[in-house]
Amino acid sequence: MNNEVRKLAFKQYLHYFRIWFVLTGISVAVLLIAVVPKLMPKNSAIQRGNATSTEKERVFDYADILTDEEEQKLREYIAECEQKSRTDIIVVTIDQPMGISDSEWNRNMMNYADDFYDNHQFGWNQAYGDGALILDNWYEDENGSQKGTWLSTAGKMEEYIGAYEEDVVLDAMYDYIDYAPYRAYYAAVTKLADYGEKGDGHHYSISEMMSVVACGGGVIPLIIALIYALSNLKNAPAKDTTVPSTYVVNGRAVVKNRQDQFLRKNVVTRHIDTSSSGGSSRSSGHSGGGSHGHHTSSGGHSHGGGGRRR
Amino acid sequence: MIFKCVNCGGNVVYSPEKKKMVCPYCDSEDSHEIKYVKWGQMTICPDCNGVIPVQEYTAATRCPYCDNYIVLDERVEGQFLPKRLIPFRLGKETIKQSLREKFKKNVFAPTDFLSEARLETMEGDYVPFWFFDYDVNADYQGEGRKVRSWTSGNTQYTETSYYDVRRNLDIHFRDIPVDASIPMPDVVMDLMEPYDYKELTDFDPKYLSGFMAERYNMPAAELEKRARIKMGEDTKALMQQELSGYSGIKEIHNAAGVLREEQNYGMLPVWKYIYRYGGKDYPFYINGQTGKIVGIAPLSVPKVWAYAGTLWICLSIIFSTVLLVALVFGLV
Repeated sequence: MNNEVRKLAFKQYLHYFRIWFVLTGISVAVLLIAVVPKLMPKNSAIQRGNATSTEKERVFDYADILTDEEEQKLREYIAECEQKSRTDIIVVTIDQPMGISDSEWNRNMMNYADDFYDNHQFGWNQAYGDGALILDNWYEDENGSQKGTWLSTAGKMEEYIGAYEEDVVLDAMYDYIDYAPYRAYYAAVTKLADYGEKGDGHHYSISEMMSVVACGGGVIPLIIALIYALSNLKNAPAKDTTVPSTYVVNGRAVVKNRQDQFLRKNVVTRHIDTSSSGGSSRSSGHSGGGSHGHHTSSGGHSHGGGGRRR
Repeated sequence: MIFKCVNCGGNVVYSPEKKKMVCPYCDSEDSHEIKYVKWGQMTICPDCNGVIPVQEYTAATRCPYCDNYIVLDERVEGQFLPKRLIPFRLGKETIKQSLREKFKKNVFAPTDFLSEARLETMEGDYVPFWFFDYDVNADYQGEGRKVRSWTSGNTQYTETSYYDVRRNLDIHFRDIPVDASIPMPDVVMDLMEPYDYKELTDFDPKYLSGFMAERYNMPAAELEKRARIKMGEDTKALMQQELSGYSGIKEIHNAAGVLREEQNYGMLPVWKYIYRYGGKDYPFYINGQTGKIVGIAPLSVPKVWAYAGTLWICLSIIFSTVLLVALVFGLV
């Protein structure tokens, strides 16, 4: 390919994609001006703003469920998640009776979790502020099991975490709780950290956004580009443009004899069955879960959350 | 023979646009005189005495030294005298435009595929054809079936009527063309049809000046089979057209006989553009009368990657931006 042809090829390329380049330029500008600043964490929230609380511990394994090594790993992971989500995350395990009846159990678990949070003045931005506490009870005696989990939330986490999110956290945890408690708490902390990010005004966590963008912004355009390439690869050959009468004088045959003589006929009948059957079906579903709602703790601070027995 | 301008001595050629003999040097029209080649010396250019590359079937060619077009007398006389010919109606510039128009959307074609320099290499060629005439009588008998269906109350009725169907047709085929050129692919030549026979004219060697030409490569007898196949297929199709109106027909008798046949030798105009790319020839044949193009554009693989890749990157950035805006601002 000589220089002239190269120059012409480049000119053709620029001309062909001129509109695409303009649209891409606009997109990049929108990304830089509108999207990137939104994704940057707010400076004020990067540092923990709660100077009142001196409590550094986040894993209170009173039920002695975790090994020392697991506790340490969980502490480190929580520290990482807190920084990312700008939320205090606390895991408390206990092994004590909380009541036989559901209502009694719920009340006692809620009070315990809320008071624990308040007494330690947890909260990322301020005391009693943004945070979530997982209270996991392992108590079991001859009268039956009182095992279960309570999630106490405050600040932005109280705002963001509703019954659905609460179920998501507990479901993630209960996938492992019976045979791998460390993994269970790890999964619950991960979910809480995600919700902490969303609670900052992001409707999706950064990792969720990146997954969607990788799929929608990478895979779909790749498929479109491949379809574009394939559709342009095919060159239709010329079609046959002659017809049977092309080379016939006056374009038609001379009919010398045309005869359509009726011979016979027969009739077949068929009975149509008009009865029909039908019906309707109904489906129903239900949603369930433990108790959930906003309330005020004995210390007079607002909390959200809920829990369930297992 | 060579057509020389009486005014300037230049080589006069046939102009499809003007439908006249034109001198490209002094623009004179119909100002030609014929200078004959000595019998038996057709490989020598009568103008510059250069050696002309004459092949076995060449009837007209261009001298590679003086660029004059020469018609080889011995190849257009006697047994090789064409009876009829359709002169070129479309000139080279018109064909260039047609090619550019047809392939302008082939973005993956090599860049110089439609460049002026490449298209300039296109040559006009008179291709030898045998034209076959057939007077055919076709006779058909079958049992036709018409089905009618209706519903009354809870009963559906289906009535089938049977007919004795007979047809007898006279079909007069005129000038079924079969190319008599070995280098020209039969399929391509068939696709280039039809030509408008209203422009068939008696042969005159002047029409060949300015173009390449071949005499027939094989006699009519060798090509008759192809003509008969075409005729047979068309006869069947025409008979089928006469049998419409039935739900189905069971054939009892179907025969066709040729009552008269005749063959004529002639020439039809074809523009030929051979594009060489990646060590391979991509031939394009264009009907010199109607402009119908037969050929498949070549593909530049680097171009495919470059264009598809660019589209992918652009789309990725645009899609990602739209998605991020929707996600960040809570639109979804």
